[in-house]
Amino acid sequence: MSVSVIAVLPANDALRNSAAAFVQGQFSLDVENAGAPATLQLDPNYPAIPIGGATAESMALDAMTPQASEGFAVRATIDIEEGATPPERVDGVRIFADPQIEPAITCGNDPPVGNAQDVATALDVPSLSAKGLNGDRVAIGVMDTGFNLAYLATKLGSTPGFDSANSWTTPAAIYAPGSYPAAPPTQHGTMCAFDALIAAPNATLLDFPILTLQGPAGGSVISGLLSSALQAYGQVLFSWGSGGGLANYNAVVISNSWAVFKASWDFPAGHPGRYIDNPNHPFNLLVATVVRAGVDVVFAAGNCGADCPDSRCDVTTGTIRGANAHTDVLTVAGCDTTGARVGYSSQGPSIAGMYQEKPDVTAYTHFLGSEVFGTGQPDSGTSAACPVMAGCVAAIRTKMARGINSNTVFGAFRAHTGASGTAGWNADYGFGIINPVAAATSLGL
Amino acid sequence: MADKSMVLMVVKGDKGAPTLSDAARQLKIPIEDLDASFGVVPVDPDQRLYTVRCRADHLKPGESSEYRGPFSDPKIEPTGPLK
Repeated sequence: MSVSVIAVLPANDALRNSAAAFVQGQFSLDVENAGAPATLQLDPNYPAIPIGGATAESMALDAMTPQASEGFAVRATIDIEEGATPPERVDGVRIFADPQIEPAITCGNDPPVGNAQDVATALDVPSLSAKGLNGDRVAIGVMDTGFNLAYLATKLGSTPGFDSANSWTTPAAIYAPGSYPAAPPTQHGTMCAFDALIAAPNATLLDFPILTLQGPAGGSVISGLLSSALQAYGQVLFSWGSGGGLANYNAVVISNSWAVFKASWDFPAGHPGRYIDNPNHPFNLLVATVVRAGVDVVFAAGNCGADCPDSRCDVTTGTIRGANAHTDVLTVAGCDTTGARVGYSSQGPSIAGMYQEKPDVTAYTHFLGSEVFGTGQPDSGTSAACPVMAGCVAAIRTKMARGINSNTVFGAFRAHTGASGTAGWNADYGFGIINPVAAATSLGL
Repeated sequence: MADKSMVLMVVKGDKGAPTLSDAARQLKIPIEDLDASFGVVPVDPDQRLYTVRCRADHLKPGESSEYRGPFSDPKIEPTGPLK
């Protein structure tokens, strides 16, 4: 078994030369003359690093120059028996562990990583725009707490497209569409609306405040009941599929940044009327019907990732549940603008009973965007990744003929991703980080 | 536990969406037990399936072999920001 180690070698010319070259930006080591025993396989591309006298007491800066240093650290491998403990020395040379390290993962309380412009750059929005893919004549339904159009106009510098008539005007609504406060506890919807416009600035927003209604059984202000979503989807189906107002659009995309966080909110396991693991629940049936009618449905994967889950999560496995794990929807995990998965992004596979290979893809979150949660606060959660994704779908729908089903569009996103860590599907990123330009090109756009 | 006092039930609509009265008749419950503000929502019109929201405590055991409910109506919450 080969084990990576750091070895400390006494000074000689080859080591001094390597260290001096490193200061000039060169990464090389003359392994033949480094003075290492043959049992140490030195890395010729890793420079000798001056470490003074190689003890904590001898780390003065002037003792750590290439010329003055008594010892140099080099990277090497040694061969040991499988399962054996590495020796302290190899032919008299001290060796130390060189363990695998990983970057610190972004969690919920961390500051933003990049901003909305960085997201636009990562999505290559200019190239989408050059193709005419900007969301024109595409409606994005934001199924959320309701959003505030005036805040969006101020933040964006212009008023985004908004269709009040085809938004949801249920008697249980607390405010008029587009006028939900961009303040606690209803600012979440404004964040989602802002993020949906990053890739599709010409899209028309629809306000579906399903999370803010005072439901007949008494929902709280920032939670709702699934029946509210069911009602809203029913309106979308009727309006889109029966020649209502939504039929005037080229396409409708629905963005869903919500979930059932605890199994205990649902009927007990094994109950045939349970929601979270039951494709035959009426809401899951209606989602299938709406998608079959030609509407694109995008869901957040959830915030129950194993590294730093939301405190509302009851478990960290099988947490993609209900419609968030529906076979017909696009389920979105989250990464920061460096492409690193955020630690709270729910991982697959989804709950038993639903489609297993979720999430489908990964989109950007945890960036400085709407600042609706306060100056300097990120747009975070898979809540932000979901509308970013919905905006990309809306952009691509701009120039697609009606009647092309969701699976064709979603399939293009799944098949044309950027970095994902592994080939094919994996539990963290799904099929990888989205690459909307490549997806568009694959569709002939 | 989801609020067991109100549940979702699936009803049939052979001639389009049934009225609340039709739904109450199918479920053998008083119309007052149905949530009128929810109404009748299509689930899969091609299969003539619709859903209503109703009180759970007056529901009688289903006579059909096909399961029509009760289905849960759980709480849902935003997936961000993290708590």
